[in-house]
Amino acid sequence: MYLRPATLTEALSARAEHPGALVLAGATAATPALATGGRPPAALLDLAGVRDVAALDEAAGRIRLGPLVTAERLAAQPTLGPDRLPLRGFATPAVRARATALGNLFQRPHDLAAPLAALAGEVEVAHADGARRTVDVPALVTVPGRLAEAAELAVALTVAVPHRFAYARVAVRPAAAPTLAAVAVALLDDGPRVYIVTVTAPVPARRAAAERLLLDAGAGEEFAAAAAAGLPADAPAGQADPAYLATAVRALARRCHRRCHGRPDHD
Amino acid sequence: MPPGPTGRAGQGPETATGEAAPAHAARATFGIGAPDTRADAVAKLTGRFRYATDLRARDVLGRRAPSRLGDQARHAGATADSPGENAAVTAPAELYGVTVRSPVARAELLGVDAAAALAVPGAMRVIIAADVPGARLVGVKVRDQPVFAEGEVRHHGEPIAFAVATTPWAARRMAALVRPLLRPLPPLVDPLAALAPGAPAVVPAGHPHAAPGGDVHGAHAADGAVSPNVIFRRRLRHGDGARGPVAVRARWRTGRQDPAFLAPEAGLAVPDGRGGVRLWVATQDLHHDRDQIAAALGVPPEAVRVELAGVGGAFGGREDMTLHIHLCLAAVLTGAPVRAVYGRAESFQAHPSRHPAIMDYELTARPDGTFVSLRAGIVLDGGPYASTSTPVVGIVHFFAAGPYQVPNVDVTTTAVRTNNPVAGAMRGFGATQASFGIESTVDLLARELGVDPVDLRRRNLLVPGEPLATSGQPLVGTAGPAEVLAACLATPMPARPVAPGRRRGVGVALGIKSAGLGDGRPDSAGIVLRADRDGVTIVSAAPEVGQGIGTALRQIVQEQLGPVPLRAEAPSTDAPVSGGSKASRQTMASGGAAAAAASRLLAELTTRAHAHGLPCWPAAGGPDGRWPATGPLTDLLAAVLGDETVEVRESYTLPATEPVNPATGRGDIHITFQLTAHRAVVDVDPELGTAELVQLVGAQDVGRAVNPTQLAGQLVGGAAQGAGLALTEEIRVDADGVATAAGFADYLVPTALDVPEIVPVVIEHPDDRLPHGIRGVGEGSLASSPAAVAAALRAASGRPVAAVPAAPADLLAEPVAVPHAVGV
Repeated sequence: MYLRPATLTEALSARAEHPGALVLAGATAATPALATGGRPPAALLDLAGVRDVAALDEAAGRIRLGPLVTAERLAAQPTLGPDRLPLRGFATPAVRARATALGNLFQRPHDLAAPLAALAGEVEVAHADGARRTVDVPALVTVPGRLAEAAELAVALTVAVPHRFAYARVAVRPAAAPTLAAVAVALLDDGPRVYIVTVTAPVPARRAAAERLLLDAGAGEEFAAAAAAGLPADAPAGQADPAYLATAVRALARRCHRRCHGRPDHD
Repeated sequence: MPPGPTGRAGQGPETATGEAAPAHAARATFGIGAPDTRADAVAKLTGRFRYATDLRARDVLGRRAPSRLGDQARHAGATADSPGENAAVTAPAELYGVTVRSPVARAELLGVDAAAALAVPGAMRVIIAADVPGARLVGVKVRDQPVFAEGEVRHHGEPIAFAVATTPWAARRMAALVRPLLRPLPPLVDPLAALAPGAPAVVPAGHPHAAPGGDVHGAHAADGAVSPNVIFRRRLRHGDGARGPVAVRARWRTGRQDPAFLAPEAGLAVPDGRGGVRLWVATQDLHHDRDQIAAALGVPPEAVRVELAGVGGAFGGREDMTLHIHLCLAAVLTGAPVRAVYGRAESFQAHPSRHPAIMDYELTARPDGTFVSLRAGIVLDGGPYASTSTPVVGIVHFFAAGPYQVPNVDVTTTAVRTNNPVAGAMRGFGATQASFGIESTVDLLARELGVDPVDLRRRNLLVPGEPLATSGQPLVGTAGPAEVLAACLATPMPARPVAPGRRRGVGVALGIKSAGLGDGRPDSAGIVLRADRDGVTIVSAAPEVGQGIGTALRQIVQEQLGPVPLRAEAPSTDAPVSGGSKASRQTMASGGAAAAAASRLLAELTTRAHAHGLPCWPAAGGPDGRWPATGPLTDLLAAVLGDETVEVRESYTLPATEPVNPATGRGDIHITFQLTAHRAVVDVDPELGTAELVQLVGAQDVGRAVNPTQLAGQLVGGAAQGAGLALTEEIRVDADGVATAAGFADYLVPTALDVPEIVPVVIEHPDDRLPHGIRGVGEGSLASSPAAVAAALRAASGRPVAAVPAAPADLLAEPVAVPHAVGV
């Protein structure tokens, strides 16, 4: 069954009526899932026809994205800073043009989680009964499936407009490869935020100790060490080596620190 | 749009002098050397090519489907492809099969509970080993691999059952519900441990061909005891035992690369109602498939007809049985057409990978750099079944010393059984591993001696006519390795500057591999040419797997007959045996048959022309490009043949080879040689360990370029695949023997972004012993490309890079505490 509601209310009703429905926004994840999965979902709930879901608003120091705003559009926001949000490693150009920023948080891997967490990203969740709640990005990606159980829909993503922002990641190759490690840093109205992810710990982890060093232009090495501190010492078999991941996080953090202070990655 | 295959859109491959080759364009407008558009190119580029994955029963049966197939479908409640009550009359039923595979690497298989699966609406049948009426073991070289596991599963992904239903969804549901009763056993996943004399046997002693082959009394078993897991071993020792005063030793490893062809396995089997079956399948060897299928069905080979369905790449991965027998068995047992298509994850599990290799090398030299001795102990992880391990051992073994003079060699090469996934044929077929081993060792020696690695190579390269260090076979019929190396190095270095923070490295490697089967095995192909007033029809069983054999055969025929209109029948077992599209042999073997057949047809047409008082055939033009356009040639055909059809049937046998001499372990075992050289330029980020390929030059002596465009594609594609092995491509297997690759998100085939500039350099040194001087070329480009990229990674990072693919941790400037193999 293909459901294409015209309003958010209809979408929420459809969600409640068809709890097994696969929710489509950019629909970039649905095709591979259907091609390789087992039984097809009982229904497809396509948000593309809902009014105003592709709107991007900026007000009061925050950017608000509807569920159909693409990752590419978010990445091009000038207010994110001179580097914007570098997306070269995120999927392929064709996918980037369709995939939504919000939808990525419901996928594995959710490559946008770290930069969105650094930007104090919050997801607005609506329930068919009219209730609304807000979930921050790390909490959302920790248990993404709970929206399905609750018959809820993520209806918007908001992020803070940063004073400074930098994001760096490493993969075996620049594009179309899983992230091995990433660091995202932002200076917001309420202070600095530093998040890291690794292939073995994909939920963005905040690094408070590093945050205190972000504004100190001379503390790049200390910042990098603090960002890499506390990484899990053991990794599941077949995953990247923990010692490598710590080295990589240090190098990425060093680059983010330099970028925040207007310097190139290398002198 | 990515750059063209040469990185310079619109230009052809480079010549040995490093300049674009205008000669190709001027040389021929048809026949050998013409840049004909591939016969399948337009259909593939416009999306109209029918791959095996798209094939449906209605495509092959049309409306001639026997009515009982419709009855079958109605009875089974088919709905997928037969909408409405009249469907059974207008369209044949078609069933769908899904394979049930082992979730573990080793377990006792106590039974298969199919009750829940058979309760699924649309369920037709669950087929297991006990349903196989004929041979329950098959294999491309050694029949040791179960059609379905019986008693024990020996690798992750081993087929246990085949669930057949009226729709794909129902079959998938069934497959998920089939419950194999498994009692897990500890898997043997370390190939070195499996090689110990006391190791537990992966296949029981009573298993057919459990006994090892080759010279098994090798160095690894000092007390005479032999591991029960040796599939095949070769050993040779040659020379006076001298060693040079400068010595380097290292242990090198290559990873489990997958052929990763883009169109996964697919096929359609249709029962003939008399116990036989017709199979449309994407494969590399129709007649060999037919024979294995017939053996498993317990029917004579004539009862099985195999036709090629559209193939989307092969690279060796379609030499072994995958879904072939399952489909045919299902068709015979259900009486209905049965179709199956693998997904990517299943494709990875179903066909063999390249053999992971552990290679211990020791190379000694005089202080001036002259090689004195080479010792190599090479172990290939074969997985539980033999597949093509035996010939792969031979290729690794006899090319372990590369194209170098080494007076003293001591080489032992062993394929060992483990509970890892099955390894078998993949483009390069052992020459890839051997090149990585010897070339990496030569680089190590250059470093030890403090000399330029290219100079060290030049000092030790074989000159034409000299014997190979291993086999003792003279290197004849090809350009000298020094010429190939020089052609490679003549290509300008990349213009792109090094980015800040990156380090650039350059690596060079040579490769050598045979073309053709060799080893004393007869290697021939047959073909039929049928001429009528409209043109000539080519009837060949040579599978077009994307390598361009169909186009090559057309050009070879036109070389003799002029630009006559050509048609080609779909390759099938109705055609004469061609042998497989493998071992870089098809253009030589079927091409030789095509040349012979075209000669005979030309003679026949000339005789008939004389009889009709017409000008003899060559007088109408000539093989030097003065042929008239197609129109007059068809006029001549019509005048000569009228309404008659002339058919010629020819075969060609490649020059004979010797089997390995059991007394010396050597012999003139190869038909001819593919010689290559690669130069790689990479930029490494020393803080993150990431590498970016900047340029890869691949030079190869190709004999003669039948089609320069296709040839460039072969050289570029093989180089890219080699870069993949060096940088990113690996099927990872965990400590329990479970392969974790699920798709192209975690098995990283190079994309256009990863191979920005690949420059093919063609050297044409025709082999006079072969028809038209044509040598097979398909695998050479994958012999030395990984070794060259690895050498560039070492130069850029300063790290040993003892294993490929190189992980970022292996390329960091400051080594982190990563356990990985360096030196022994």
